[in-house]
Amino acid sequence: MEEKERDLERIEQYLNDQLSAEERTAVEHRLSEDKDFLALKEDFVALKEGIEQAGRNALRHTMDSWEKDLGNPLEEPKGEQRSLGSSLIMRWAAVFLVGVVSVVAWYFGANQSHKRLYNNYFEVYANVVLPNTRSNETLTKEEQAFLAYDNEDYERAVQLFNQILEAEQKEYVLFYSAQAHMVLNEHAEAIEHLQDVLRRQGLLVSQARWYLALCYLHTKETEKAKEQLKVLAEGDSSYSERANELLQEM
Amino acid sequence: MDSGSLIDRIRRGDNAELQKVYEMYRGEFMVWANKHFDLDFEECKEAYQLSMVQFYENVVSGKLQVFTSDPKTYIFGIGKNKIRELRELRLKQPEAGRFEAESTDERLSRESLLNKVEQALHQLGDPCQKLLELYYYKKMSLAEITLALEYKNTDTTKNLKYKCLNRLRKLFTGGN
Repeated sequence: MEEKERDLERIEQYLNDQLSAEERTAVEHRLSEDKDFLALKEDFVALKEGIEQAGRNALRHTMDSWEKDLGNPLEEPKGEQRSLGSSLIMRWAAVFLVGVVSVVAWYFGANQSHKRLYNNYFEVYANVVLPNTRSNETLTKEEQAFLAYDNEDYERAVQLFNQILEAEQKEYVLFYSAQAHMVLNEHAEAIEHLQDVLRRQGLLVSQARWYLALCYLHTKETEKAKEQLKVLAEGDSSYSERANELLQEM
Repeated sequence: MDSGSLIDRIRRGDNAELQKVYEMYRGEFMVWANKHFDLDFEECKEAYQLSMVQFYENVVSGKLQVFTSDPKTYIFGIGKNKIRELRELRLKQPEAGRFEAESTDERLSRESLLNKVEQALHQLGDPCQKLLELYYYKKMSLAEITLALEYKNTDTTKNLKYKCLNRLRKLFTGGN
């Protein structure tokens, strides 16, 4: 890191009260003596606020896009609003439709090479969240889970991930638990977790969609797999090219 | 609606869930704001969006972890405060647009400063823009960002975060 980058880190730690008493005193001394350092602190505060403002404006922009399909309730008679009930009916209808399509595809035995393709494309996702460097005795449950994952002890990893999920449904824990289930050939459980990640429409949508497609490939639900792959192929994620290739091979 | 998992899903970046909440209470909120506070459609929309932004920020910052009542009561509670703030602005500045207040010099200068940062952020572009927004606005952890943006590990993400912040600073100040 460059000097200014290290200073920004120090200032952030200072403002977030993450320094020891000694380090804090050193920062305060520097703030009183070094005008550039003081200016950097003021810049940091403005940058943080500006980023927050940009995020807020982006959210308002997204809300405006939601407004396009909604009417003026001050003019409409009651009951015109889109209700949760109708959206649930649509979802169930979609699930039913997808189910019917899948059964038909399965019945006519569309493709026999699922297993080969799955083996060619499945690669367990590396642990980029919690690389373990500490001794075993001081590890948190999450670190223990990821250590088991790194050591390819996937049964232990699943056990620990489940314990974490009982307390909090973290998106990345669901995702890595699905990975472990896939290695253990427990694709039904993996599908459940990946669908949960996908429903959240969070930051792991592309990753979850790719592995969900592979799970469907494994369970020979070809249409469902294709459906997920088409979405990826049309998108601009890092999975787009792979999804295209796999679709062609199917 | 399971309010605990609703908060969890929104905190994890589930925009579809936020949209569902937005659509669910929008009509009722607007009718209520129109009836009790005499706001027109645009003002109702402004107040509702400001309330939903505040609701979202309370969720991601961890300020709201559980509903003591239900989501509707919580959002309407925020709404009442937002409408009061907007009405105060309207009273201070009757000639301007109903919700446009004349800012003090200090406020104008702060606004202009933040707008400059926002412009610099757009100029910075992705992946820095995305990373900084995820960290500072959506309050994602470095671990979550590492996974979402497919970086090597959390240390890489942390170093990149300060590189991006420094690049943004240079664009903002026009200096070194």
